[in-house]
Amino acid sequence: MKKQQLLVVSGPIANLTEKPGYTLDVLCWRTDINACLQQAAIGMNIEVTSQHYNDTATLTDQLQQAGRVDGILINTGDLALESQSLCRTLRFIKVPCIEVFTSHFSADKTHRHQSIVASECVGVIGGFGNYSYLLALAALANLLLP
Amino acid sequence: MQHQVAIVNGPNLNMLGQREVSIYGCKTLNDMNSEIASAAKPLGVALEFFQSNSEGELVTYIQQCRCRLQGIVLNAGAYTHYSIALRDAVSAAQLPVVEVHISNIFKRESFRHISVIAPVCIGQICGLGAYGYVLALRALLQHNVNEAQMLNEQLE
Repeated sequence: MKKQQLLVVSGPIANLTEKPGYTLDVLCWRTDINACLQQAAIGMNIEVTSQHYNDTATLTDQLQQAGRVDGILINTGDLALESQSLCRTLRFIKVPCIEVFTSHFSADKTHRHQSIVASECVGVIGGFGNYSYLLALAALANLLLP
Repeated sequence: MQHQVAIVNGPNLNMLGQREVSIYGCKTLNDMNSEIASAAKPLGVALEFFQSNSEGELVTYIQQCRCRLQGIVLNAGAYTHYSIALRDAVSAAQLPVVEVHISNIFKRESFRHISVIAPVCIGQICGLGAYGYVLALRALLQHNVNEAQMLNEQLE
């Protein structure tokens, strides 16, 4: 059976997510999120490709080319709050997308609880450290079930 | 010790399967609870299900969870957006609580984008239907494992 293709896209600062001193799940503890996702995806018939960009333009370019993948996990970092171009791109490519936050964005007392990207995603998972990514992977696998 | 977790649903969730199926889907609350119970079995978690349309009953139930259970998965329905009483109950329960919504609240009316209970919860999952509750359960268990591990490290 053909493997489902999953793209994991991270925006600015989203590559620096581990909180020092905070114990994440056993699999992810002080290891790379991408390696964890690839390991977890083996039993799900999913192939994971991870990309990280610090600028909106490159992120948009990559998403525009993502029409060939079956699903997207996206952590746009601070771009979640401001980037209309990312929203339009997600609307345009029509690939099921789950927004992931390692922190609890909705609990943030500042402007950070207003993600505009969330409205273009199937769902949102936030607050569980690196484990948010593994939950999002399970959610997408469940969505892509035949 | 076996984990005991409450799955708590607020107003109108007893109408699942009949109410706005284009948003909430065709599954009834019983269907959804059976799905969650099946997923909980291999995780070794005992579940307690509670649903009420009454804010007061929800507050009382959450108060009763304190010192008795190891966590709550909470879909407070519309109370999410304005019930300070519910928020205070969650805060006073001193339990890890994961906030769940069946629909993606960020795709809907702007009054649904704000959650007053979010700051007293450990995280939020929305838009993933009944499966969101299963993920919330996993997140809760993982949180408790992490907390226990941190405590052990501090004691060593």
